[in-house]
Amino acid sequence: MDVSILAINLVNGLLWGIILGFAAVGLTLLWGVMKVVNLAQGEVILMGSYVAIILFAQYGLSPLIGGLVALLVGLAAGFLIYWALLHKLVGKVERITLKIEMSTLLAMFALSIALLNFYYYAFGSEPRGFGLWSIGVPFIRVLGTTIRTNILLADALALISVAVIYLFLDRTILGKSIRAVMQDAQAASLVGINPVKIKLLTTILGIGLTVFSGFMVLLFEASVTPEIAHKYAPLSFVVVVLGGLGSVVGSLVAGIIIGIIYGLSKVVVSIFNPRISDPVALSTAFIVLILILLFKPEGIFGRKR
Amino acid sequence: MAGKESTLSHYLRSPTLLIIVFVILGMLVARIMGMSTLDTLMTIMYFMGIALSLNIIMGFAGYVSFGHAVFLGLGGYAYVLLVYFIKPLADLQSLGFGLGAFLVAVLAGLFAAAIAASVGAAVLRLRGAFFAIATIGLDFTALYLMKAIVPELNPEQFFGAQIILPADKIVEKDVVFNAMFLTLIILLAVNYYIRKSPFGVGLTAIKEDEDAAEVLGVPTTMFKIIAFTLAGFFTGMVGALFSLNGGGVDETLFNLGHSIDMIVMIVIGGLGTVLGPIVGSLIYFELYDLLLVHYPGVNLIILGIIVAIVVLFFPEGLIGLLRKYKVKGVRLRDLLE
Repeated sequence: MDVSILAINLVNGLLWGIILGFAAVGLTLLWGVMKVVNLAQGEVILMGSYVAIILFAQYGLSPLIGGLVALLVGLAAGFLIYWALLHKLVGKVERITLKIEMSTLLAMFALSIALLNFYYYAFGSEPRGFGLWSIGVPFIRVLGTTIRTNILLADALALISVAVIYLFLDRTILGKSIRAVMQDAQAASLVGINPVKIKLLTTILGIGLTVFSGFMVLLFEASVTPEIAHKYAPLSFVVVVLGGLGSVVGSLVAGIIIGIIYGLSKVVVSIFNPRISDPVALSTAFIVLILILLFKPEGIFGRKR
Repeated sequence: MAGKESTLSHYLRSPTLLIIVFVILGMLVARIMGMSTLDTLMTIMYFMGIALSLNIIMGFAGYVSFGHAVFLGLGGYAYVLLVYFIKPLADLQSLGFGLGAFLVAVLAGLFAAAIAASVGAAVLRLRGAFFAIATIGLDFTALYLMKAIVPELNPEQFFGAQIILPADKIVEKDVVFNAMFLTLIILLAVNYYIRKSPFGVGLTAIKEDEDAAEVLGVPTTMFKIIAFTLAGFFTGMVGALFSLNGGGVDETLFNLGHSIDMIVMIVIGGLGTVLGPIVGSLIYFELYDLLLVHYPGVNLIILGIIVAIVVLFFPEGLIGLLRKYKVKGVRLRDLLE
């Protein structure tokens, strides 16, 4: 077997995995802290992509500014989603029962229907992107393969963002309060942490980061269609379950693992039959999901419940 | 004997049963009198069929299977592949007024049921969101595997995962109607039976508090697997006949959109009842049609907003809402099931 094919696939898997891991950070926060599974994950990711695209295509703004605006739009969207959907369901609740969990799933599901079809309505199903825009030279040669500079930019932004959010949760009072609520909401409110405030903050942060990751997804994929939502949302769930609920670092590591598994299985399958390598490689990610759910449901970095 | 008679007369007095019979007769009359096009009736039956199938696990046992479209896809692919490659089955389809197609659909349903039973034995250990996510994972696994396997089966004929049945391997649409109609009647009967049986009571107990149910002696694991298998079986059958009606199958059958359809219908109608999915599917069909005609393009955006409003403000659905009221001293809760 050609070693360089293996190397290319592994590098691509790694580069993709970082994006995937960052895209799931918002999801893992929402799920870990509030027990809210954002079924609109894919659509929320796309919000960031489309905000940057509109600003670029309609107003000629640099995609870098577009990415920043996407983050701001995401934070605002988190605020709206909390007050419009989540507050009524989980705001005042101390212990999330299965019934409440189901209601939040359905509410986020409703959001996903509305958002996805809004994208189809507003942007159509054609691929949209930044065209030929790139930062610096469009391609870099690494390890005998060419990599788009935009992908490296996306990965760098993703890693920086994960580091920032990790430091925020680890070092600041607010971040520590979020982790306190994640570990024990009742005990947290006993020591004077206002749960509603923390839930609102978590939603703003979680949705904001997810929307921001849409910008990286766009840089990575070069162009997006609404259909991309159905690729990234399920993969985000895999990443969160694998990484452990609420763990930011776990999410990044799990993303990289999934990316590399994808790259590896693609190489292995293409030895037998190159035509089916992509679908089979994607399906391995979900087989990993089901195995993890069955045998290690707390994930790699999660706490045993 | 006396006991049996009183159960029979009890059944006859139940308005739920009357509504079910009315729905069946209404469908038949509409078909015979030509009051509605065949396609409209097929669509209504398809919607009602998938809602009633998912209802067995979601409505009664409270396990929301977000990836339930997987069984629609498995049933559809099983059916199309069976009649494509096995000549006797293709010939069987045209047997007596749709009975043949029904039998082949049962085979396809059994395939879906086998997958449901084996996967269910594993994933039904998970609760709430984890179960939902696992079924979504199952859906995508099946989708990607189908994309990989199908083109290999007949590389000259199959384009991607799409299979179009040749003209000699499909049957006329009124024959498909008959088979679907028969499936729907059985599905209604099964739903009603479960609602009335100790099995249904056990499922409700699981929905309310699984740990307590287990302690009280409900064989929760077995009940859940049976319910999930039944739900997979019937969804598979509906998927099979739906594909036959369309003359082939492609990977869109695995779309989570189909799961959305099922779940939304049950939520609008009311969880945990037989009437819920029936009423829900009729409302959903009308709503879908109405929004499509009047607000093309934005119809599904509005639908999403409606679902959100139902979830936030009327979580019990229409039937659940009605069940809270009394009419002339009679509690509707005793009448609507």
